[in-house]
Amino acid sequence: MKNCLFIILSCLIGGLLLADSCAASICDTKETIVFFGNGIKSLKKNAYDAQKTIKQRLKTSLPPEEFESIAFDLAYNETHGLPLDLLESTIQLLTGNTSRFWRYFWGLEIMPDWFADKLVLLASALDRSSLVTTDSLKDHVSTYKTKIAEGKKVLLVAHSQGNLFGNQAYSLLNSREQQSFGMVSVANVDNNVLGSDSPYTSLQSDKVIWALIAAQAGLPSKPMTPNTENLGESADYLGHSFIQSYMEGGSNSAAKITQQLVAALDSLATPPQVVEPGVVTVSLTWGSEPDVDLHVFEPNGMQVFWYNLHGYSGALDRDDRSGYGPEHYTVPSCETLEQGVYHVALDYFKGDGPEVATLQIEAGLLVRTYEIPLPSDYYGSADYPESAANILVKSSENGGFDFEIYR
Amino acid sequence: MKNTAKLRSTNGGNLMKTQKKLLILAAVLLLPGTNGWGGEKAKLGPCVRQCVQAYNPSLADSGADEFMAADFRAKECVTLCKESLYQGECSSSADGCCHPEYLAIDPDCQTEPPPDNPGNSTLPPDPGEAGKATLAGIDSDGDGIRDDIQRYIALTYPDSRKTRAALKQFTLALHRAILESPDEESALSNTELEARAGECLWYIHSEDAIIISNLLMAEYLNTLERSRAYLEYDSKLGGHVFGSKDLDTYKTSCTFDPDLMEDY
Repeated sequence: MKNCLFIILSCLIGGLLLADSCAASICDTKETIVFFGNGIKSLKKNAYDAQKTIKQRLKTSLPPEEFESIAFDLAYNETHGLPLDLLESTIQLLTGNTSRFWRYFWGLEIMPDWFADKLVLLASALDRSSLVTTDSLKDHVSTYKTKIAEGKKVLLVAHSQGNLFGNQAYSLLNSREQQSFGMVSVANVDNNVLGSDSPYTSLQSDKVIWALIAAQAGLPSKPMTPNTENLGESADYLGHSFIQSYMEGGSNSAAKITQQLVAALDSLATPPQVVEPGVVTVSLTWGSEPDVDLHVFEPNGMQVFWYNLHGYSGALDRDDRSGYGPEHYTVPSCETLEQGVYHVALDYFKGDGPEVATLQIEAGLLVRTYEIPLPSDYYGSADYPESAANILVKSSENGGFDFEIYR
Repeated sequence: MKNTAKLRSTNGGNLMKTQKKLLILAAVLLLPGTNGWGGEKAKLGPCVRQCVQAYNPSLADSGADEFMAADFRAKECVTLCKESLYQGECSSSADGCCHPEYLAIDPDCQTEPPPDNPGNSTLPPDPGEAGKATLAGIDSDGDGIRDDIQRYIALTYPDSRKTRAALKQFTLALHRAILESPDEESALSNTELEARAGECLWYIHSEDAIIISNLLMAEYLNTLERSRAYLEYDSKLGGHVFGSKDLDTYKTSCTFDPDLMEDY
């Protein structure tokens, strides 16, 4: 009854088309990574929506080949309990209606004055020095450093408290890395942009910024003064939302932010490539002790480490024996990517005291960072390194690859 | 073999056009099997005649070839008969191939995409306050979606099957997020499902996906317990870095094929 040949060919062609489109996302090497760094009012879902909005705007503002050379990631900052505090402190007035709380919170309904006041009060009361700690930033900074080491430019779009995180992260990069790190500042609650008065966009109608300015009047930490005005009313009562106020279609602020994004992409220096990028990468850094070694057992059974730099799938393209690292393993392309498990292991080869290893693994869209205490150099050996993490690679239903990273 | 259907054009017309085609197709399917027919005309002739008369019962068949050739509706019938009756083609009958233009009647389409019940009569009853008593809520038909949310989706988006499918994918991700994220590792794993569901919705609705998903979440987080559970899950994600797909591959984030679905 059926033309089997047609169906088989269709399946094959369909499969190939989907595989291409899916695999392209993770297999293509990108030249620039644009991160979005959220403020403390944004949940991860909202931050991800903001990142997609940036992506959509840049798609229409850049030549296609330039847009395709950019990857978009999210450097998610914790909310420090602000949404929960707001929920707990307003739920009685809302007579237990949590759906209404969320509709106010996300600007789906105009929030009443008392709700807005409560939100601004909570945001202003947070201690800035406790918001941003080196510990809360370590994954972000580690990722920025790795990307720059791979020869990529890094641009952070920072919104609200995301500016505090961005400025702090910048201070933790070395001077060479700083040349390839840029920040587009939106609703800046800090008093600078990467240590200077670089361009920023804060709305005149932003009630949160004005409240913070009032709360810190006379202090050097006072936020930078709003410098942009949008015509017309926004659905966002506080005027602080990245999507609803700052990136509102056709607004002055959206045009200005997009313009600053394009300018920043042009101005960043392309860093020298220290390690090779890839579809799977493992970076190992540690402290001042001389030598911690990275071992990767590929699915084919090959052990890749300082004595055997090249596997069938990937390679150890950087070995370090003088402290700090990085050591770096990469599977450079999807062509040599194998299905199965890549076992990552460590050997504290040489040192006089306890050490802490930081292992950063990227596989497809996944990024994981682990801190692993190394009590002494009896931890593992060249022949029997200690297992640290695993990367599972399997084919996806639509022809690409699926990844899992686990310990 | 399901993939065959995915290659077909899905530029289907509006609802009326589809309904008319369904009527015609029903008549076409009443024809005897095509086995033993001779050449192309022998195969097409009876099909087209019956199709034309099903299209307009008042039209008399003079028996002349001009009967079909002269009438524009006959041309549509020729196309339909070619598509539906030729050996080797995907038809709307049970043949292991889902025909994208006949999702409602082709038995092969009934498992792909997931079935949904936009009509009020087929929905589970409103669980009311009882549905808010536990974190998981009430799922009386066992489809993995809380009854109140199943009703919200069906009644809010009765005209868009792909929106309903995308929101169900999103709801399943939310369900995992609040119920199965006891530690950071599980939260990190579950947030990937939520991200993919968001990309799928974006593929269908572009920037409107933000409001659509936020409205759903406001309904989903309708108790203090659920809201706290979601915030607890979200707190485990702070400080991490997340990758994302390229815009032009967002379709691959859907657990169904939205291009196979007409908006009805």
